[in-house]
Order: sequence, then C-alpha cells, then structure tokens
Amino acid sequence: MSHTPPSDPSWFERPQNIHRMIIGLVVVCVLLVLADLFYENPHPHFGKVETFFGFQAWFGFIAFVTVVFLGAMLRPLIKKPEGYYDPEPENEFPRLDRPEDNINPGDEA
Amino acid sequence: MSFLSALPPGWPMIVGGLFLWLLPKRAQAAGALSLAILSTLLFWFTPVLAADETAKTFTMLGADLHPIRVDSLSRPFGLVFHIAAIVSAIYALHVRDTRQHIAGMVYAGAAIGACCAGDLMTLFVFWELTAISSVFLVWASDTPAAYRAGMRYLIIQVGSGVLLLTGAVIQYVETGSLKFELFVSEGQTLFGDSSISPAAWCILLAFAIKCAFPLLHNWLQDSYPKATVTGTVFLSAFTTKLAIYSLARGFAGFDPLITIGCVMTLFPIIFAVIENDLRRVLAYSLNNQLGFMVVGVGIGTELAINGTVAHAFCHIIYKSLLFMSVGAVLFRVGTAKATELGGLHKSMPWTTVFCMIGAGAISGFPLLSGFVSKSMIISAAGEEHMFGVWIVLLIASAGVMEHSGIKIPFFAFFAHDSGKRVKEAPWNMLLAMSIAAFACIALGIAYPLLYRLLPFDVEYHPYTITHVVTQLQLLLFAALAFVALMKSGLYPAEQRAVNLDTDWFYRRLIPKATRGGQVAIELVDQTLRHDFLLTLRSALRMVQRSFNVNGLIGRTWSTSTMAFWAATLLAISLVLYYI
Repeated sequence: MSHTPPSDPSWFERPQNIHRMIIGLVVVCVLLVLADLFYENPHPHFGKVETFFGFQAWFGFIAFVTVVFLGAMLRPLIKKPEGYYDPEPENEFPRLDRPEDNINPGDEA
Repeated sequence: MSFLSALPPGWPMIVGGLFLWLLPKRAQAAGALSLAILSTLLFWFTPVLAADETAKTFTMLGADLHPIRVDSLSRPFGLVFHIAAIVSAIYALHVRDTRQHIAGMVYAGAAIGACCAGDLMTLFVFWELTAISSVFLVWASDTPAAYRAGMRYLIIQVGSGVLLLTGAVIQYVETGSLKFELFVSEGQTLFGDSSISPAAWCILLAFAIKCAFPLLHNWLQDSYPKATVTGTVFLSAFTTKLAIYSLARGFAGFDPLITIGCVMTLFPIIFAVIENDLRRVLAYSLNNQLGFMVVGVGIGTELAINGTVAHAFCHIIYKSLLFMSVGAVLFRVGTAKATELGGLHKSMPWTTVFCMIGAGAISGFPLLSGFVSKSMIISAAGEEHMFGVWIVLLIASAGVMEHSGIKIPFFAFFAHDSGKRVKEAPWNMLLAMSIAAFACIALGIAYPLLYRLLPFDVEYHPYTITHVVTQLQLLLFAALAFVALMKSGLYPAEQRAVNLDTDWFYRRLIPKATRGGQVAIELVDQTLRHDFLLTLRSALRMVQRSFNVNGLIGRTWSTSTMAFWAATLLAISLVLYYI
C-alpha cells in the first residue's frame, strides 16, 4: 500500500465533472416530477396522498433530510471515544488472512 | 439412496466440513467450495412436498419428529442459503485458516438443515449448531476485542436456543406435538385475554433474538464487524434470515409484528448515519432490511409472505455483495472506517462497480433485485390499506438510500482522496462479487424466475409506469437531498468514535452496577477460602506430626506394649462375644 498526495484527480474528482453530475441529477429529478403529468396511477391505495403531484419526490427529499438531521441530533448523546469499550488499540482490526501472511507470519503490518 | 434421502439437507457441508482438516491446508478452501456445490446439487433434486403432503415421520423417545420438510416455503430459503454458501466459499478461497473453513461450512449446513426442519426439536438442534459454529468466525479474528464480542454473541445466541427449547417442551406438554407450524391464530395479541400461549411466547422470543428485534438487536452490530473479512460474509447470510423464515412459518399474520417491523426499519437508519465503521453501517442496514421482512410476516397476506420470501432471497445476495466489497476494502487497506477511506475508486475500480450494484439493489433501483422484492411488501401494506405502515416503509426506503445507497460507496470509494493506493481485490473476491452482482441484476430483470420460487401463486407486476416513476422519484430526490446537504455543509462529518447502543447496558451499566455486589461476594469468598485453607493446613500438619518417625502412629513400638494391646483387644472381643 502506498500513500501518494491526492495530486492526480480522476474523472470523478474534477470539479467541472462533479458540477456536471449534479446538473444531470437535477435535470433527471425535474423530468421525473414532470412525468407525473403524463400518466395516471391506475390503482392508488391511498387516493389523496398517492396521486398528489410529485408526492414521492418531495417525500423522499424530506425523509432523507429528516433522517440525517435526526442522526446529527442523536450523535452528541451517544458519541464516545474510540477506546471506550476496548482500550487496547491493537484490538481494532481483525486478522486479514492475506495469503502472504501465512508465508511470512508477522511480516505484514 | 433411501439412506441419503433420510439425511437433512445441507448434510454434506456439516459432515464434510468436520473432516476438512484432513485435507492439506492449500486444498481446504477448494474442498469447502466443492462441499457447498455438492450440497446444492443434492438439494436441487430433493423432492418438494406438495401443499397437502406431510413430511416423513419417525418416532424418537415417544415424540413424532419430522426432520426434513422441503416445501414451497423452506425451499427458496434452502436454495438461497446454498447460493450464499457457494459465493462465500469462493470469496474465502484465499484463506488458509482451517477453523474458518470448518466453521463456515458447518454453519451454512446447519442453517439449511434448520430451515428444512419440520419439528421444533430438529429446529432446536440446528438452531444451536448455527450459533456454536458461527462464533468461530468471530473468534478467528484473533483479537481480544473479537474474543469478547464472540463470547457475548455466543451467550445471546445460545440463550435464544434455550428459549426455543423451553417453548418446544411447553408446546409438547400442552399439545403432545412438536410439529413446527403456525403458533398464532387470527386476532391474537401479545397480552390480554386473547394472548398467545406461553409456548408461543418463548418461541417468539427465541426468534426475536435471532431476528434482532429492536432492543434485542445489538449482538448483530457488536459481533459482525469484528468477524474476519470472509467470516462476516457468511454471518450476514444465515442467522437472521433463518429467523425470518421461522417467523414466516410460525407467526405469519401476527399483527404485533407489523409494529415491531416498522420500528425495526426506522431506528437503525438513524444510527447508520453517524456510524464510522462501514461494516457496522452495513450491520445496521441489515437490521433495517430485516424490518421490511418482519412487516411482511406481520401483514401475512399471500402477497406479503411472497414479498418477505422474495426480499429475503434478494437481500441475502445483495447484502453479501456489500459485505464482500467493504471486506475487500478492509482486506487491502486494513481498515473499514469512513474517516480513513476515500478515493479508492482509482485503485479498486471493479470493487467500486460491484459495490455500487449492491448499493443500487438494496436501495431498490429499477432493474435491480431490491426493486422487485421490496415493492411487494410495500404494495402488500397498500393493499391492506395500512397507511401508517406504508408511510413508514417509504421513509425507511429513503433511509436505505442514505446509508447503503450513498454512504457506503461514497465514503469508501469517492469523497475526499485519502491518498491510499492499494491493489485491486484478489481474483477470487472479484469473482464472488461478480457472481453476486450478476445475480442482483438477473433477479431484477428476470424477476419471473424469482417469483416462480415463491410459496404462493400471486400475480404481481413490479414494472408498472407508476411504480418505476414513483420509486425513481423517491430515490433520486433522496440523492438530491444528499447533494444539497453536502454542498451546504449540513451533512454530519464522519468522526472517529464509537456510538452507544443497547449493548451499553450489558457491557457497561450492569458490570458497573454489580461491582458492589461483586466486591461483597469476593470478600465472603476470600474469607471462607482463607479459613478453609487454614483448617486444612492444620489438619495436614497434625497428620504429618502423628505419622512421622517420632509421631504417635509412626514411631516404633516396643514388643511388650504391642503384646499388651493385643491381649486387651482379645479380652474386649471375648467380652463382646458373650454379651
């Protein structure tokens, strides 16, 4: 494993590409909401809610944001330092069973 | 041949697994894989019981047992367990650790045997065998933390088995039958006049523990991330889905399960948002997916049960895929913590692609497996006009998108570049992941193949315009919310920390609270022990003193004294003779 400074951005890391991906996502989202105008739910179970314009779109957005915020609110209550239960730092990682481990035991960190 | 058909499904893995140590170390992994394939072939050709047939009975100690019941409900579980065993065995081909291969095979075989058990006693035996074999996959990590987590896991799992045994015994005493069938009838509740029987209570609790019901769930997040890279893949497939099968068999249509399932889909997603260890995130996500299945069991209509079985089937495959890809990252980088990862798509492109397919499948993107199975459960809630349940499942679906759809691939493979450059995963891991990824796509497209395996014939068409559009709306707007939160800096940053959960009660509170009692017990124990030792020592000293050369018993006595005592003894016996 080698560490190199993050100097060689891949396609996914160039800012203009990230920008393009976000624009693409927004366009698809708008199209999906507009698609609601062109079909009719033949078999709604909860008529008023399910047929509401773009219901699952805004519902998905709000649900996602709520979940993240609830998580952020929960964090201060339950966060503890990493050595809380198992103070020994060498406890953190399992044996990795790399084949080379068996040839030279203890050679690989 | 009749002898072979009398053996429970999965037996080649249990019996063969126990003899894997006879093979040379290099051949053990291949041996395990061949056992899994052999068992799959045998299972495929095992005749399926028709709806009106009953399993073969044999009597032992006065009880009728049905050790093998392969019917329309247990067969899909048996099949997917076999697929999971094969995929996990391929994933573990590089491992040269005898313990893990034996444990993995026995565990898989026991889970298959359990889901084909027709009576509670057979179920109990395999139930405990899964617990005892799987704990070695946690212990194989060889760290003190994994040892302790394994101990907690074992205690909880064996406890579940004991409850099952208790329930089985009560059931036998009450009804005279050990048959494993529906324990509840229409309209029964947990408490009150129409409550379920004590036997059903015990058995439900046993299933609840293994199924990781809320408040009983924490063994899962505690132990799975501490198992070995390959062990976690095995673990993710069997235990909890065996519990889902058992619930579907014994408690289908039991209303309280709907509420429990709803809670189960919601709370893990909140914990998953702030969890740093990606394997723990996956454990929470596993919990949340089980919630969907529990809701399905609780609704209990034919569509809902079909949905539960289909979802369990797809779930085992995509969850293995996710655990495999994060496992590959752990294997190469040495950590699975979100804070340490990022930018790995450059060095592990194939793993990235497979992980994203798994993430898409669990989120329920159209053309992937989660879409065709999860929607059956959500539609079943709709058909029954359960508005609250339906809304909860939608929130949970958006939550799945959060932790498994976005968080796992994003923080492991993209996000900020951690600067770590590693090799791509080994060929066997890539092969296992590609099989699972292919299965995710195949099940999503060729869904009639999956539906044919399900217990009931139900007409269900997942690819309607309404369904595809609404599902895409939900998922892509959730993704949009992620982008918005990231751009605005409101998304909680990954932090190195452990988060408390219910395991705090038995890892912290109870040990601390009982420390006073422990001290008292130690004091009494020490005092008693000390005094006993003192008494023993003085007794020993006395014995030693009397038996040594100058002691009363050990010393040499003169002939006249001996003659005197012999005469005295004779005189006493003479007197006694005449009395």
